[in-house]
Amino acid sequence: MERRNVIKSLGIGLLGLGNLPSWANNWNSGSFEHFEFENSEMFAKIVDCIIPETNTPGAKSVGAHKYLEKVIKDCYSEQIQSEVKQTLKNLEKEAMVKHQKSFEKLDNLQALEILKNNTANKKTVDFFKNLTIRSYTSSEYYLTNHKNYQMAPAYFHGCVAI
Amino acid sequence: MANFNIDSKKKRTFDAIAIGSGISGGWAAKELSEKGLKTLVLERGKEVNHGDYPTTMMQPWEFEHLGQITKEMKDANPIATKCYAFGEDSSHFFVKDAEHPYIQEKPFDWIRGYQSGGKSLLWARGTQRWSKYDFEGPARDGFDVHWPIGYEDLAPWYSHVEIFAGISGNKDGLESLPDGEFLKPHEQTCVEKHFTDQMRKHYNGARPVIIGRCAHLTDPQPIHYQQGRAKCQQRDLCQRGCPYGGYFSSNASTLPWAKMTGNMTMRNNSVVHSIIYDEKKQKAIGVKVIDAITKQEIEYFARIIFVNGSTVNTNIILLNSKSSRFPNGLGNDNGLMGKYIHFHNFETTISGEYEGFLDKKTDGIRPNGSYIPRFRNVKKQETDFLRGYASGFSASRMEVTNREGWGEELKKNLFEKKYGNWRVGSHFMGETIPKISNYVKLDETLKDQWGVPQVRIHVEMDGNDAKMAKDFREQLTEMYTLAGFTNIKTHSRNGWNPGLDIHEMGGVIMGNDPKNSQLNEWNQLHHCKNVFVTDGACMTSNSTQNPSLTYMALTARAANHAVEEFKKGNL
Ligand SMILES: Cc1cc2nc3c(=O)[nH]c(=O)nc-3n(C[C@H](O)[C@H](O)[C@H](O)COP(=O)(O)OP(=O)(O)OC[C@H]3O[C@@H](n4cnc5c(N)ncnc54)[C@H](O)[C@@H]3O)c2cc1C
Repeated sequence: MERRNVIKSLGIGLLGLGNLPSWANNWNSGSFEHFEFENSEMFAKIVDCIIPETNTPGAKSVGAHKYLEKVIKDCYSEQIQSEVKQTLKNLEKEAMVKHQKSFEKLDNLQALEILKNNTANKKTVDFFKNLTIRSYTSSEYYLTNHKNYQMAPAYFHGCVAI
Repeated sequence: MANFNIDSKKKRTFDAIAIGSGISGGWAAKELSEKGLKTLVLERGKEVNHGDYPTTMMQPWEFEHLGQITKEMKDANPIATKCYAFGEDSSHFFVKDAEHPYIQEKPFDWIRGYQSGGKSLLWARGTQRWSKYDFEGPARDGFDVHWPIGYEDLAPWYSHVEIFAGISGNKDGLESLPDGEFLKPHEQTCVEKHFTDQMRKHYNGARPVIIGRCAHLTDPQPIHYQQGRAKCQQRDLCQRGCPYGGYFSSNASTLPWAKMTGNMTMRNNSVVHSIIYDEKKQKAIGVKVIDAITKQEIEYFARIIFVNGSTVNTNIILLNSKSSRFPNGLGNDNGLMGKYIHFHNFETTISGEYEGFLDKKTDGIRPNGSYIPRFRNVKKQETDFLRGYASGFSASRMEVTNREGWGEELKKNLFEKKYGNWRVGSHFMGETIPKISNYVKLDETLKDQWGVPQVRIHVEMDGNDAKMAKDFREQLTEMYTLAGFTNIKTHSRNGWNPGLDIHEMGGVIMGNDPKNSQLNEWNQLHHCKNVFVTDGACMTSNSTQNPSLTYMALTARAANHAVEEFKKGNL
């Protein structure tokens, strides 16, 4: 009954998310920020060279590196995870051989050269690219600035001129 | 002490009990309490009040896996995660496999939602009436059991539930899919309209294509505002629960309404174990509940009992209600309870493209699609398989993302504005034949953690289903070709099992003859008239419509009959 009144008083029925039941609490915490990233520097360099910062935000500023590390750890098989580890190792090795520097210390062009030309791990490199694009094109920056994203458009027109 | 017991029993006594608070139980609660009956709703799952939707306002970028399910979740839930609606934003409303085990004698994907509102939070909201041809089908085609009611019996109750729930649709004037009490329809897209026109032309009106009918408030009326609901905001994030009450769920609609009468009491975490039968009174007198958390046993009493646990659970409860009068389960004199389980076949789909209307696109979001009502064997037998199928149809146009290149070049490409061809697709929803060989039964030894026997499920597709799916692929290919679509591909959904339709029905079916059915024309057990079954378990056949609107109408009809009988002193 109380809740109904709350809904009514807000007119449109938009509820605050202040007092959720306990089963739903884990959705309230900003768990995203609190994870530790073992390979974050490496992933940061990878996403940054795939979609760099220019006069607009790149993949790193939208947090794509954190997403990559998290999603690989949580959502993919051990097989894929070990391929990822192997690829990271190979990239690092190549950086040392070519530039005597750790991969994460390379400038973006150097890093991209290594990434693009890594034929031995092409599948995993493409996987990194796809995840980076996914993260970037799901970001607030991209969706609101490019896609005119609206969560609740409240309309649908079936046939409009482009 | 004696007095204490009497008092306590009084507190546990109601006029009516509804088992389950999903789509059908919510309707039982609303109708019974609105008509003045003190009604107890027993719900095994957690409490979810309207608004308790933790993810509902989250933006896409706020999900740490951008919507993807974790491997741990997938590995632990090979069945639940098969449901297309199971995602990072909705997993908390699905039953997890390990918590509620069952035995698959044949592969069966049992998708469940245990909470206030049941699966009404998760459903896809497609709502179509049955026609007289659908009710007459089993008799015409010689099924074992025939419907004891026809379209005319249910029509006023369809209206009753449509007005309250809010169903959007167009009055299409079709015999095979009667019109209802509709709110404003959604719009078809250019290519959907094109398909409708082409099909009208090529088939002389025999294959209509219409805008889908769905439980969304496109144009809310006073009755909806009184429920505390508002206009659908067309977010299409329904599986998270809707803070506006823009679509029909028990949580947003029937349950708060029942509560407002002052006559409804809801008890969550209450697993109904069985129904108690009194041998002297020759009636059911109440139910035995196991508290889901404390595992304590409690009994509740009432003169009317509505069983709405959703099909399989309703079968379990009744089969588990054993007494010396009913050693095989309450009402199960003919031994057929649990048999005649049927479902909808969704095993195949088709997709294609359209290269026209390239200067057009859609704008906004539509939580709906177009729909092709059944056109096979509607009035007479025309094919080498029995019955027919309905299909979805949707045509949309997306921006394509240019993913070529690396670095700055890639970045530039990602910001390119470009549209691809229109994409079209249809899913198949085939009627299946209720058969004695498709059944659920209780396991003789295995129990769940509340002491309820585990269920064994044995449901299989047959040759009729395969022929019908083939016909869908052929006919839809022909229709797509006639409409000028290209790149037409049919798909078999590998790994699709019965159950994944989430339209499982039967087991406690309606019929005229107690020899081959369990329920009479008012959904009362033939042999225990104060017990009503109005969820999918009662369905004599399944036709080609999404079933829930029919469960709602049957429930409202049965509940009003129950109230009349109650007031006459017959129950
Ligand atoms: C993703 C998805 C899409 C769907 N799309 C559509 C659609 O477009 N159109 C359509 O018509 N249908 C659709 N459905 C199916 C629809 O959700 C069901 O038909 C409907 O919810 C059934 O209503 P019900 O009351 O029988 O069961 P439910 O809504 O499942 O409710 C049953 C309730 O009973 C409770 N319960 C079970 N056992 C017990 C017990 N022993 N004791 C106490 N409580 C118990 C459960 O916890 C649950 O809350 C869809 C379902 C899903 C999941």
